[in-house]
Formats: sequence, C-alpha cells, structure tokens
Amino acid sequence: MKTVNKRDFVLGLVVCALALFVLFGILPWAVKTPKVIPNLALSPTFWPRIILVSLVGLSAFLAIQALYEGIKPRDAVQDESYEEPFDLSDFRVIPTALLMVLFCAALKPFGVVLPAIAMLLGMIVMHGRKEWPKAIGVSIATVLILYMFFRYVAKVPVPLGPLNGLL
Amino acid sequence: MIENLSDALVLFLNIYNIIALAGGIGIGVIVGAIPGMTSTMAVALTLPFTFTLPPVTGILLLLGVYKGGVYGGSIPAILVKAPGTPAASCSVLDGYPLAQKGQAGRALDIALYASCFADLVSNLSLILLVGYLAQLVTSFGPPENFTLIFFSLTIIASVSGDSLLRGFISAGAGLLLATVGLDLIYGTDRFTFGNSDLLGGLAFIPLLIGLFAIPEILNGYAKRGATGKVAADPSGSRATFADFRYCFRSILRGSLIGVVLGAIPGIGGAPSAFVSYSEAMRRSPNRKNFGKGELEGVAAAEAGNNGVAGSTMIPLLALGIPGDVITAVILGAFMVHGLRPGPMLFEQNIDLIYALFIGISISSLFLLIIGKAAIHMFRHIASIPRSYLYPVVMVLCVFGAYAVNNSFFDIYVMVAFGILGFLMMRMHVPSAPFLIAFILGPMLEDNFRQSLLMSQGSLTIFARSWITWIFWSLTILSVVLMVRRHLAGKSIEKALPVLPEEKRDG
Repeated sequence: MKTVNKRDFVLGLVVCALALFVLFGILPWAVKTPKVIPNLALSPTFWPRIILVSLVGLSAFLAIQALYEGIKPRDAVQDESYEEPFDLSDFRVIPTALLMVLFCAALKPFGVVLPAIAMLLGMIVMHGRKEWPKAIGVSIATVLILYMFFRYVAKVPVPLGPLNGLL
Repeated sequence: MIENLSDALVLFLNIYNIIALAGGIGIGVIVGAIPGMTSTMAVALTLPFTFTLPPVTGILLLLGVYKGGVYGGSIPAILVKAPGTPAASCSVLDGYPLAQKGQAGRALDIALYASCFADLVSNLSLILLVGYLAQLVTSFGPPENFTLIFFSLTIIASVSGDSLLRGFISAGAGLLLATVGLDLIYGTDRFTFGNSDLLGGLAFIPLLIGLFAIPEILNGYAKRGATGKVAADPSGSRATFADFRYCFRSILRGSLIGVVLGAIPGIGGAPSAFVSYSEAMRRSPNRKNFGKGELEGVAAAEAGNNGVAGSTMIPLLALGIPGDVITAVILGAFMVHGLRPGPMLFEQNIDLIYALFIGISISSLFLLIIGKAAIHMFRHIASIPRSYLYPVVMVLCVFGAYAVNNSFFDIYVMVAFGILGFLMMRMHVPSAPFLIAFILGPMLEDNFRQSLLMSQGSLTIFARSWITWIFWSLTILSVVLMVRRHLAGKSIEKALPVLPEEKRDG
C-alpha cells in the first residue's frame, strides 16, 4: 500500500500556483517589452516565459507523481525524505527569523553597529546562553572588531547611525 | 631563451618579490575566509598599494592575493557552511557534512592539497600552453559559449539529490530570479518593480550567503537541545597520503577542467568547480556518498576552482583580454606600470613575463605552507559552542553582504533568501541547483540572445562550428547517461523486497 507523499504534493501545488500567478499576473506588467521586436526569442519576456512554463509543467508533474506514486512502505523506512516537511521544533525558528527581520528594519534608523550588537546578543540568549556578561562582551567585541576591519582595512563605509562621531 | 631566463631570474630573485607573493597569499587566504569578502574585492583593495612597487613585485602581490583568496573561500565553506567566495560554494556540498562528522581537519587538508595541486597544474599549463590555448579561445563566440553553458547546466542533475524533479524546480527558480534587472539587449526593466536596487539584478554574494549560511543557522535554532560544542574535529583529523591517492583522479581531472574553463573568458571558478564535482560524482564508485560527506567531492570541487587560477591569465597575457573581474584589475596593474599585455609584451618584456612565471610557479608551494598555517588557525572555529558560533557567523554574514555594494538592500536580500533557503531545506528542495542556475542563467540567456542577434534570428548558428557540435554531443551524452542511471536506480529499487507495512510505524 502506498501513502501520498504530502511534502511533494504540497510543494508541487504551491510552485505551480506561484508560477501561474507570475506568468499571468506579474509578468505582463513587470517586464516591459519594446513595441517592435524582430524576433520572438529576442523579447525580454521570452526567457522568463519559457522558465515559468517549464516550472508550471515540472511542479504539476511533481504533484501528480506524489499523488499517484506516493511513498512505498520501504521508502518510509529507508528514505529520510519520508519525514513530514515541518515539525514542532521548526517553530523555534520563528523568533530567530523575526529577530533577523527586526534587525533589517532597524538598519536605516540605527545603522549597522547597534542593531548588529542587539541581534548578536538576542541570538546568543535565544540559543540558551544565560551568561549575560559574557554574552554582552562577545556581542560588543565581535561587532566592533568586524566594524574596525571593514571600516579601516576594507574601507567599507559602514553606517553608524546614532554612534556617528563616537567611533 | 636561456639568456631571457637568466634575466628573469635576476629580476625575480629579490626579497621584496618573495615577501609580496607570500604576503599576498596570506592576505588572500584571510580575506577569502571571510564570507562576503571576495578575492575580487581583496585584489581591488590591494591594487593601490602596487602603484609604488616595481611591476614584478606589484603584480606578484596581486596574483598572491588572488590565489590565496580562491583557496581561502573553502575554509568557511567547510567549517560553517558559508562559502567565503562564490567559487567555493561547491565545496560546501561535501565539506560541511564532513565537518559535521568530525572530520573538518581532513576536509580542510584535502581541500588544501587539491587546491595546491590544481594551482600547480594551472600554472604549468599557463606557462606551457599560453600560446596554443589562446588561439583556441579566440574561436569562442556567443554560440560556442551558449553550448558550453548549456552543457554545464546538466550538472544540475548530479546535484539534485534523490529527486530530479525537485532539483529542476530549484534550478527553474534560480533561472527565473537571474532574469531580475535590466534587460541587456533592450535596456528595459524586468521584475524590478521600480526599485533601483534591483536594476543590476540580485547581488550574487548576499543571495549565496543567504541560501547557504542562514538556513544552517536557523536549523541550528530549530534543532537546539543540549547545546554543546560543534561535533567537528575534536581530535584534529588529518588527510593522509592514502586519502590524497584515493582522490587523485578527481583532483587531476578537476585541475584540467579548471585549466580549460579558466582559459575561456567569463566562465570563472564556480562553474568549473561544479563541472569538476559533477564529473567526479559521475565516475566515482561511491557516487551515492556525494553530498553526504564524500572526501572526493571536496577534492574535486577545490581542484576545479583552483585549476582556474593560473589559466585565467592565459587570455590576459597572450591577448590582453581579461577573462574576469580579477584579471581586469590585474590588467589595470600592468597598465599602471606602462605595460600592455598581449603579443607585444612577449616581444618587448619577455624577461618580465618569465619572472612572473617563476613567481607563479612557486606560488603553489607558498599556498601549501600558508594554507596549512591557516587551517591550524581556523580549525578552532569548529570547537566554538554553537550558541556563540551561529550569532557570530550571522553578524559576519551581515557585514559581508553589506560590503558587496555598501547597500542595506543586500542585507535584506540575504535575510529573505536565508528564510527561503530554510523552507527549501525543510521541503528537501536542494539549493545547489538553484545556485548553479542563478550563476549560469544570465550567461546562458545573454549568449543565446547575442547569437540570435548575430544570425538575425536563425537557430542554425548554434551548430555553426565543431566546438558547438562537441558541446551538443557532450550534452546529449550527459543526458543519456543521466536517464540510464535514473532508470537503473528505479529497477534496483523495484528488485528490492518491500518491507512489511507494520515496520513503517515501528
């Protein structure tokens, strides 16, 4: 007896829907085409269109294959891909990912250094370290060393935000 | 000839040249080992320091930085899954799994040996074949490049893991995202949505860091439990001579692939590494271990990307054509000193050319010594507790992504692709095909469209020369072998007895 390969089925459907959406919903207005094109293959939309049509075909095939072929019991035992796509432990990632998004949002007002220190400290704590003095020390020292290297050795103008003038 | 060589020896045998070469390699290894700091960036930053140096010293310094950078990229690729340079991205595939098995030292050692050997082969090829290969390379036009890149894309099948379909979907996504930016033929926007940061397309380095390093960091948070040290290399494993001998065929093959691809302008180290890896996998009896920590995979990838290092100088020295950005910077260094690479340089400054050849020849030995020291230094990374390692790598990635274009947008791209990469990891969609397609996609499209422009729309241009025929034949052969292997795999699967269903649960 076979079981539907849920992971491939969902992946196939999602990619197929996304590719169709881009093909018919986004491509017509997101890629500007000149009025006169000597050859269809020279059009700026030609390549993306070919790729999107291929993606629709491949993902639909994946979904159909997952539905009809499924997973044989042998695969279920031997193949690690039988595992469910997501498990409860993955929810632990959400705070870390949110921290990264918050870090991105803080870049424009605060520059790179302060948000980087905060993110580093946050990530250390989120990973289970509660040695605050050490964590704070590592956060500040790491970011400052990297800042000094990139600013003075690599000559990269790293924005400082409120620290401008201090470093 | 002998007189020229003795002049060259006089020109080369100078302590400053030795220091410049060794120092350059040291700088290159360190910079290459920092994710986001490419060897191109390192060479560009070093260029101003060469203005006041004699030509041979200055150019050797730049060559040292370049060669060190190409190798250095493999160190973080193996240790923390964050390739220091795009060319090292292939080394992640087996290097990181080896590090996870506690064999980081062995992986780093074999990467170094493969790199030095490939570098030596590449240097010798440069010296011996510069004239002949330069002639062949001049006959490559857009149709030949298109067929070459099309053939290179068959690599995707080798790095797709257990499902070709998932690999192709991943590659399709990479190809699609590579179309973002200005259309090179008509200059119109494609998927830029009015954002000026997207006009030049998605930057490669932030995407690379996002796709490879961040999913690993996020995975570390998902799977954190009893957090301790990284399982990598507590006893300091080493690659033995037997390991080198075991990988030797792949190293030699990868070196030669690197030499040939490096001599073609615009190809670079990353495709070469992937082609070499794919060939090693295709021919290895242990191909099932590839991607899971196969030593031969690391050796092949590193041989492929370092095999390019000497031969990229072939079109530069013989024709004055820079094959990539780094050789363009090195061309600048020649010109600053009033030298113009090309046939005239061989006539007027043959002593300088020979002096450079001597320096280049011994650079492989310097790379071995300095690389070995660097491994000792960077090996300790593997023993840092993950709770500190992941956040520090994350911040390193942030600085590296920002440094590419001094743009916050690149950091956003990195984080976005990091999250996408994590989802891909969970859905078992391999990220290597995505990356290969993203690298090769623009080259494929540009050469395709340029060819059609040349032929006024006629597709027959893709069969115009014996070179295109060779690459078409190789592509067909590769696809046939791939399908045969796939079918053989299926028939073996069918032949295996199906386990009783109850075993699934228990």
